[in-house]
Amino acid sequence: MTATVQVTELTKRFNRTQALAGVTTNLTSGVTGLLGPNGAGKTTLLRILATVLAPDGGSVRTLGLDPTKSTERTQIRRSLGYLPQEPGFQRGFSAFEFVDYIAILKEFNRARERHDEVRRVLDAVDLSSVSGKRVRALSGGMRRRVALAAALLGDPALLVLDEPTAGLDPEQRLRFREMVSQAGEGRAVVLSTHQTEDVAALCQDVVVLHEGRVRFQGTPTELASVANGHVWFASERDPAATIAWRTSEGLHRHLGEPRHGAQLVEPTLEDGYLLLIGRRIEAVA
Amino acid sequence: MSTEATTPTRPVTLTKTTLPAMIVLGRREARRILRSPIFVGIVAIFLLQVGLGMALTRSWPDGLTRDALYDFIGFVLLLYAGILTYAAAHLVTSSARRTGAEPVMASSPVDARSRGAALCLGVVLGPGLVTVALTLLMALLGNSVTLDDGAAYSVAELVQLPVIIVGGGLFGVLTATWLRFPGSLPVGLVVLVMGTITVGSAPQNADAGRPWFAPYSSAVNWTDNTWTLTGSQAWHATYLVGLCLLAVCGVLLRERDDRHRWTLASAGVLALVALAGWAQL
Repeated sequence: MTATVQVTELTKRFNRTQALAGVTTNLTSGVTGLLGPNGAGKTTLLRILATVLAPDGGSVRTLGLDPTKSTERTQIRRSLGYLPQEPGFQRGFSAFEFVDYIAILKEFNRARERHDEVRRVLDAVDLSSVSGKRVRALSGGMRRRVALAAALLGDPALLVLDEPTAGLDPEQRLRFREMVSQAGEGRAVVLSTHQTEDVAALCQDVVVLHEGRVRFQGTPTELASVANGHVWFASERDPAATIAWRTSEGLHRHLGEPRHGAQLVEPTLEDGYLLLIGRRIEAVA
Repeated sequence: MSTEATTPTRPVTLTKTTLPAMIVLGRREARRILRSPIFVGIVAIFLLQVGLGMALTRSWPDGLTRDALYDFIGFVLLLYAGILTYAAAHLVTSSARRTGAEPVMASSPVDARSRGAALCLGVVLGPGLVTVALTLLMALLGNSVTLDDGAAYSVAELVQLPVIIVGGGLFGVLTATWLRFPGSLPVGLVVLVMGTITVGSAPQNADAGRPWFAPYSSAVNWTDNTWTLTGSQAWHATYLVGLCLLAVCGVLLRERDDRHRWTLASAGVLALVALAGWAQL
């Protein structure tokens, strides 16, 4: 049984900030969601997986290869697609030109094959009709799809997507989910997100990062079950709850240790995540 | 949870090195440099200048004759083209950093050193080849021109023209690679222009050989200085080629991986520059 990515005791520090403090996890084929609050270390971990950033300590093996070795790093990059958190685009490039430029960097050396591949990935993200338009003239959602198209070039074995649905409207998010779901068939996709709905809808595996450490790894159902017996409704806000909010029905949904006789409900993935992170926050406080 | 590793299913054949991709990228970068708004704008200005020159018939009382064209190309290459190539190459090199496109590029098999090499190749294949074509035109015209202010350029002097234009572009790639902050373009431009003027200014008694060390043409026709008569134009061309290679080494040395090999190469090029610098005097 071989994991697509094996991460062992990974550490990374930026000046006084410990971004990763000994992350150990295995990522396999299918879609894996990285959940965590801002500053949890998600982007740092993904940048290391994408070979853009070198770790300070620990080890990573991607597709059985060691990214610290130059030749093996090149091999990894040949099997890698990466969508950064805020993808940038050179001025003056059309969508086709940008993806074509990245295709050259991905060693599509013959013009005809390269152009066919660029058309294929632009079609996959439903951008064929605007491929001649300047990237900077496209909407934010379209730009992210252009960047996703670039990540899909060469049908990579590992896709690393950093907050792919950030800033998208609900329709675009649904469209994106569909694309990522398709991309996740037969390959490993790792995506970071703040959106628990995306994880619930897309991911077969979830990793929760908090303060540079893995706090949970399992299936979305397992993450939801963390909150089993800890979610209840009440007509009034219960001060004993760790987290509470008023729902659209006018009831208060509570997470935490319920009082005797509380009206317990089935937890969602978000409940499990919030309880997990909330407990940590509470413990630190 | 599935735990089987997947393998890539690429539609192209993988090569052992990224060299072929680097060459393809070099051609693309050449187009980007030539399509830079700086070049497009300046070509418009030159065409206007030619039009005005012919219309006003002051510079060229007989219209665009062979002599006028010869003078004009030499003037453009010596005065403008190097600086413009510097600026265009700098802008293209720094565009990924300025626009935030670097992370996507950084995760590709063609690494930063190969991308730097491709930019250097782009300078040669873009502005370099255009200048070679213009220089060849000058060489053809040179057989029949009768210039008022001196003889036509010698072969060694003509060779220097594309080299200084390529050198300007390579200096642009070098500064954009190392000086990764906004405003590095004007900083590099000031260093290039002031350095050239300072080193290449009219010689004083004690340092008559100094102007030969300027990264610039020593053509007698252009500099109108007697010091050019005492040295070797061919060795000066070699010296300029050496400076270009040194700039390429500087670009390649930016990445830490395998740096010792490029340090050795740089030492070799430095020795060539020193030899040519001494031999040209």
